[in-house]
Amino acid sequence: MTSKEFIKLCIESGIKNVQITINSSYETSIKMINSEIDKKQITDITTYIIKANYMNNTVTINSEYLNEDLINIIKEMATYTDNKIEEEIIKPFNLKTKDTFTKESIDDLESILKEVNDIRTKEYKHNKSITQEVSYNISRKQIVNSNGLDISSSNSKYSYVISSASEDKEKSVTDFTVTIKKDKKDLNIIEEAKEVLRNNELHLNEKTIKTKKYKLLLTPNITSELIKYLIMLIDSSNTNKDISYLKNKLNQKIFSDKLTIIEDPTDINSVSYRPFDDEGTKTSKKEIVKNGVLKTFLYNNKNAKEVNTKSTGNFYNGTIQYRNIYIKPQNSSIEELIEKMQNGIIVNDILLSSSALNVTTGVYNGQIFSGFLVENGKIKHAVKNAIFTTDLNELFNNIIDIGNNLEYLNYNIGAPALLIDKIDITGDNNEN
Amino acid sequence: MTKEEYEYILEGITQTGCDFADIYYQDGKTKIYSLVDSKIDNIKYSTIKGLGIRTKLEDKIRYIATNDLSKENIDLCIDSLKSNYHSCRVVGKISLNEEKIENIIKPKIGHDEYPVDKKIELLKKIDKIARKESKLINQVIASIIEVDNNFTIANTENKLVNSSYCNTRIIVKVYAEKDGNKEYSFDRIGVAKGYEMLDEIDLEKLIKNLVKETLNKLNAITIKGGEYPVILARGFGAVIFHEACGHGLEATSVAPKTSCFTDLLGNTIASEKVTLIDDGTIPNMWGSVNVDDEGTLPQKNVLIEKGILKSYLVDKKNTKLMNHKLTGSGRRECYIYPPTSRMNNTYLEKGTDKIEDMIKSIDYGIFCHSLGGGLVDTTSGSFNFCVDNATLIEKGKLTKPLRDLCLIGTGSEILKRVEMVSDDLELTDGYCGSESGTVYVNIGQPTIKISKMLVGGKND
Repeated sequence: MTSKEFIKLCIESGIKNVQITINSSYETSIKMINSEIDKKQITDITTYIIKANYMNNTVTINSEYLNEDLINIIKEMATYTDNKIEEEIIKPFNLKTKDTFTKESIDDLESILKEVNDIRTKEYKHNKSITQEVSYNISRKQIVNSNGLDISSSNSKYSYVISSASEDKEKSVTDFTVTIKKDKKDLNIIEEAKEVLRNNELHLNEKTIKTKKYKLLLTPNITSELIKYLIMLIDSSNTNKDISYLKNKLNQKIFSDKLTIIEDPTDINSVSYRPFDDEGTKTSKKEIVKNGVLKTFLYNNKNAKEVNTKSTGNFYNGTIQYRNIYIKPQNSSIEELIEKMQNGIIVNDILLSSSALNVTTGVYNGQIFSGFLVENGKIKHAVKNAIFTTDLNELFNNIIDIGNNLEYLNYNIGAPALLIDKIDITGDNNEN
Repeated sequence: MTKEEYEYILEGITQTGCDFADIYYQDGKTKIYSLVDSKIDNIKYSTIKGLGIRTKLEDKIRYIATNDLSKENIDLCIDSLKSNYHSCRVVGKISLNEEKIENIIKPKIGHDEYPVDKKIELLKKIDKIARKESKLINQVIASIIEVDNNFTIANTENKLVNSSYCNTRIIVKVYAEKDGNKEYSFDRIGVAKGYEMLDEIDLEKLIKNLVKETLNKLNAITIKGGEYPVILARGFGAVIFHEACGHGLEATSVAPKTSCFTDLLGNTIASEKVTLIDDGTIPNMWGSVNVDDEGTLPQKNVLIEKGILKSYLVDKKNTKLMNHKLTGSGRRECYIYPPTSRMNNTYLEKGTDKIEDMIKSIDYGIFCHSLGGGLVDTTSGSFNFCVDNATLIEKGKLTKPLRDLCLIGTGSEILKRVEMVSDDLELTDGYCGSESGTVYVNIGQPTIKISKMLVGGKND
């Protein structure tokens, strides 16, 4: 059954305002362990998000197919939902989008992965193994509805992940990184791999540190994580339920005035370019935090209607999400930030459990998985077994400086390095 | 799909030299009823239906996942998989025989048999009980999750297996506020059965305990970070074993020799108080399966016995490579992922120590009543998890509630620091994310004392 046939069937059954978002995703990937291709995979999936009104209620279904049975499900769901919110669906509009991408092969990247393995065996004597995975993804989104809307857009991205394990007589250590680029030529696989291999060897010299407050230089990898957690706090699903501690902080200065966070899904050169969200709401460039002032929460249609405002175009894959969000970079290079820090810890990677952030209190703690102690502006040694205990309020208020190196490690998030003052670190060195 | 269609695919993909192939066909649905602000906020419904086709030569995998089940697309998938090999056919003619399996997951009251009215009533009752317990409770979020999944596995060993899951889970979150200070707690009960579960649980007790825990947290204090003796309460405390050693015993990390437990079979890796089991055969338990996701029957696997490493968790891909028997541990979230070795219901066997003696033995330490999720790096064995609810122990007595704690360590160290093990074994349900997606697992332990752990805290 096609989407248009399904919409027709819904209308004939007394269901109104029917809208279907069709998500098609094609991904091809190669995973290599040391010198051998371990796995090659192709994933080709189409899913449907159906939104429909019945008995003054809007319900949503995620399905991998369309059939008549779903009509009864829509009616049952609407009947038993108390939340009488009838969402409008959008009217047709013209949209200029870059659309089709071809299903390209990435087999040519196999030789580069093998070259990385050769470099590892020749130049990194403590390395035990590496796992590399490269993938190419095309996603296409089409929205059709009972108002006659029919819009679509596509995007594509390449990603490279490397995980490296090194060992000496005493211990094993791992490091990894992820790189996501729009163009294959920008995937700088060899340089990315060399940095991970180098860091991995350095970690063999890791030492414990003393428990106290430290200045932290958070690399873009970590800054991305922080933004991810901040979004949970301004997700209207949490603010509407009054379970986010930022609920009453709109238009207040809550963070350092150095901090500006922007979302721009309309940037056609971004790997997460989306001219409209999954409800068909046109997206726009917006400031989420401006000079430390919280400017907006993120809404879909339902949550917006609950508090009498408008959707911000942040509904993707059934939840509140974001596309191409970034911290506005400033002027200092990484070297200048290290010089400014003088004494502290460069945090390259953190190990966070699913409950690392308490949404209700903003408390945020986890393990420094890869970090380097800096003394007098010079790296002294890698850091072993350390825990940071802080909250997002403290982190974003203690910003000393922001780097100029905007990097996209997660395809949705662009992040520079952040230099942060006085964060509680627990180490297990009680000797000096 | 029919037996003939599976045979057609298997015949097609084996023409050019793979030494094994299988198909995983899945047709499932999930329904979630959610209550927020004392009313039914939404009912979510989702379906999944697709096919994962795997070919293997030695231990190298080629995999296609698709939900376009048209003949035209299936033929394209066959051609694509065939193009990976350039030799002659090595497997015999495919003639599938359906294998009947004894179901250990047997729902008595299926999800569609239980009236929706009663499900709604249940959620509203949860809300009412929680709010009645204290005026400080300002939000209750409750959900019922129903998952029904049917799947078929067909492989070049001529095996055809049909199976299903029926999983039901109730989740309750309560939020409290006092003088601008907010806290929350959550608990859940998940089983591989239908609504007969309601006759076997004391939901009222669970909710009242949850409210008490949340109110306690409002008065909780922080402590200075450092090394402390730690008691981990029964049940979800076992996330430490799941993270600290369970993942490191999966073939996914042992076969490529990246696990810190590689080549240690027969060696002492833990205190003699530690006997660790992974058992997918416990009837109707959240992490149990009728058959694993590559057609092998689940087993009770003794992983560590009195501190000695006895077994890894091994799937079809790695059994030959590791020269280790299959353990019925091939699992995946759905057809999108090829299966890998995963845990089912993992628990620490009970001991004989008394909890009172554990508390008395500590001058200054921490009793962790419940933990949040954890994370591990299987190579170094390094893990961490957040503490959801804890109490300070001072001079052998429980004193003040604690907050904002995080525990870290390495598997090899912690396993050797298990000093006392009580007899109050309890298993609780959770999710586990790894290479083949998110799967249902149970984890369990009796209350244990660990001689010391690094605990993150505030240093003011």
